[in-house]
Amino acid sequence: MTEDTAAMPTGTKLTLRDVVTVRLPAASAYLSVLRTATAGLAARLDFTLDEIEDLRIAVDEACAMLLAEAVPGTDLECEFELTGDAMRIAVSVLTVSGTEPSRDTFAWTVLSSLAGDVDSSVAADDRVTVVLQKRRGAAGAP
Amino acid sequence: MDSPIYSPPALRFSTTHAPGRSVVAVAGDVDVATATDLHAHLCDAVNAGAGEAGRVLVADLSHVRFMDASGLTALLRSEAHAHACGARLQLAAPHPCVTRLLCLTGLDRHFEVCAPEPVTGFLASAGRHPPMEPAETGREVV
Repeated sequence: MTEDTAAMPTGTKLTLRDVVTVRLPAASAYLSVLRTATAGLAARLDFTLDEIEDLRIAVDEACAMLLAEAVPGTDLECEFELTGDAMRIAVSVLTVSGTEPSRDTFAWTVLSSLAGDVDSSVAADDRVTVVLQKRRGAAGAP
Repeated sequence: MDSPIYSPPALRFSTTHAPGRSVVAVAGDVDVATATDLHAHLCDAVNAGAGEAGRVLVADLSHVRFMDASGLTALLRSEAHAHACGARLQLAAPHPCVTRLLCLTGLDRHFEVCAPEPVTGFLASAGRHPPMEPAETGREVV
C-alpha cells in the first residue's frame, strides 16, 4: 500500500480513507466468517456490544438476501467504510435477475430495524448493492 | 453447502422423546446455511411422535448463539408442520439474541415461549465446548 505513494506525482495530497473490503465466495457457508469480520471492525470503532451484535445481524441479513439471487461461482463483496462515529457497509453481488431485495420480508424488517439507514440499488450489469449505515451511540431499535 | 472446501459450523441437536412431548435442543448459529437443518430436525421430531393428539414439540433455543430471519422462517415452517400433524410448537428459554429477533419482527406475540428445559445431552457440557470453531480460528487471520 505504501509503495503507491512513491509513484504519486509530487504535490498530490493523499486522503486516507479507512476502507476495508472483504471478498468471499457467494455461498452461505461463508456468512459466519463475514459476521466475525464485522464484529472485529465494529469493535475497533468502539461500538457497544449491543451495537456490534446489531451490525453482525444486519450484515448477515443483507448478505443472505443477496445470496438468494447471486450468480453461482461469483463473489460477494463487502466494503466497510469507517468514519469517525459511523460504519458504512456496502454489500454487493452479481445477480441473475437484477432485482432489488423485496422489502416485504422478515429479513428486510430486521435489517432496517438494526441499521439506522438502509438502501439498495441495481447497476447496469445486474450487480445489486445493499448499503447500510450505523452510527455509534445512535438510538437503535426499540 | 455449495462450497467445495469450507463448510460452515454445523448446528448441534439433542432430541429426546417422552409421552406427549418431544424436546429438540439446538446449539450453534442459525443462519441461511444452517436453517434448513433446524427445520429438518424439528420436523423429524414431529414425525416421530405423529398420531398422538395434542403432542408438544419443544425447541430449546437456550444455546443458539446467533439467529437471523432464515431461522425465524425455519421455526414458522416447523410450526406449520407441527400444526398439520396435530402438535404444537413451544420455544424454550430462547437466548437473548433470539428474543431480540422475535421482538423486532413481532413474532414474540406469535410464538409460545416456555421455561428452560432440564439440562440434558450435549447441553450439559456445552458451556465448556461452545460450537464456535470457525470464529476462533478466524480471529488471528484478521
